[in-house]
Amino acid sequence: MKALARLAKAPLLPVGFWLAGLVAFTVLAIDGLFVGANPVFVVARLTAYVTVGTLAAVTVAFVAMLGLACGMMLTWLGEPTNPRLIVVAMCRSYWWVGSYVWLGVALLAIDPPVALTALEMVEPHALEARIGGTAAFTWMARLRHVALAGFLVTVAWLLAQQSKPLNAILSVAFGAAALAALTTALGFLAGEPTPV
Amino acid sequence: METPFGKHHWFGNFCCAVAVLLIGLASGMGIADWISSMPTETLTSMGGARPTESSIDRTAWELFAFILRRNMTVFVVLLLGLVSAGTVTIVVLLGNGIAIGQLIGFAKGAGMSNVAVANLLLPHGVLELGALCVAGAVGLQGARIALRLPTLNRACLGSLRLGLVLAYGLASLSVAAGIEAFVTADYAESLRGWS
Repeated sequence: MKALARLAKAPLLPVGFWLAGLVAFTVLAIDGLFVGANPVFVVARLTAYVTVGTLAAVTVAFVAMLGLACGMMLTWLGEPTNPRLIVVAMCRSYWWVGSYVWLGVALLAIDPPVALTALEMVEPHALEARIGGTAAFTWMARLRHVALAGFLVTVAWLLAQQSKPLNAILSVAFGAAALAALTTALGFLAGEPTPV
Repeated sequence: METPFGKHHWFGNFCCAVAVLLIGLASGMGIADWISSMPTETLTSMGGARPTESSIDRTAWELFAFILRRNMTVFVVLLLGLVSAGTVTIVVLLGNGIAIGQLIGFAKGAGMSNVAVANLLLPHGVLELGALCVAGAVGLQGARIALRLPTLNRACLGSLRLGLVLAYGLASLSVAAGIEAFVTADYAESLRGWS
């Protein structure tokens, strides 16, 4: 039991849990939607895998940005902080994101997506419609805010172990605001220009 | 560059970024060849696919803005490698390399000559990919930052010269987007009319 408790406190275990879940979810989702040896499906599968890989890496970067912002705010508030404390708090909060992804895996296993046909692939909104019609994806979209809130609350709780609770909450709020600003700016940059 | 992150490592990191991009490029070309060698009977029924109106009705200036925004996003995302031990940089460089490699592979598979492919890609590609590799070199410093996390200070972070890198990226990608929107697009159009 003690060994299990010690394992649960290991900082990298939640990250591994999340990564394993993400791999399982990606394989189930992509290989469920794009089935067959048709080159169109091969290209779609490849593109989807590269996209998920990029998203996973960007997620790690965003969490690191959140950690940086939290650390900066804690330092500014005069709390004793160090990189290890921040890294451990971020990593251990991954239990939430990992659970969220594994829930998606369970939902996909119960109700797998119906594969797209080659003719559907050329229809502009067929993929969106198929994703909208799959219970696992719909529930994942609904629950993403719960996972995010759980993640942030856990970060605040873990930081509060070493600093004043109010300062920990303030640092997480600042980090979340900084991250929101960054994602909004990136979204604005990547978005289509408005027609003149 | 005379400070810890800059002095000895930036050129090595730039070479690493170029190498990752080239690995992606080779993989992309291999994938394109592999896909081209597959049976294509099922594709004949899908020949009616046409580009959407929005992709056709773009003026050169709109195309310029579109390309610049997309490339700047990739540039900024490559810099996120600084806070993710270089992971984002490697994945994004590899992904972009694969995309470009596939493009070249499919173009050559469709019978386009080497000269035509070079004319389409090189004029803007040299500046564009050069800028992205510079961002990649900076992003790859993230691995070193992660290793030195406990001893990081303001001087170390200042030596990254992110302002200068961003200014260079904006300038270089603007010129590249200008060439792509005003020169390459016309050349591509002439190739389409010719074939």
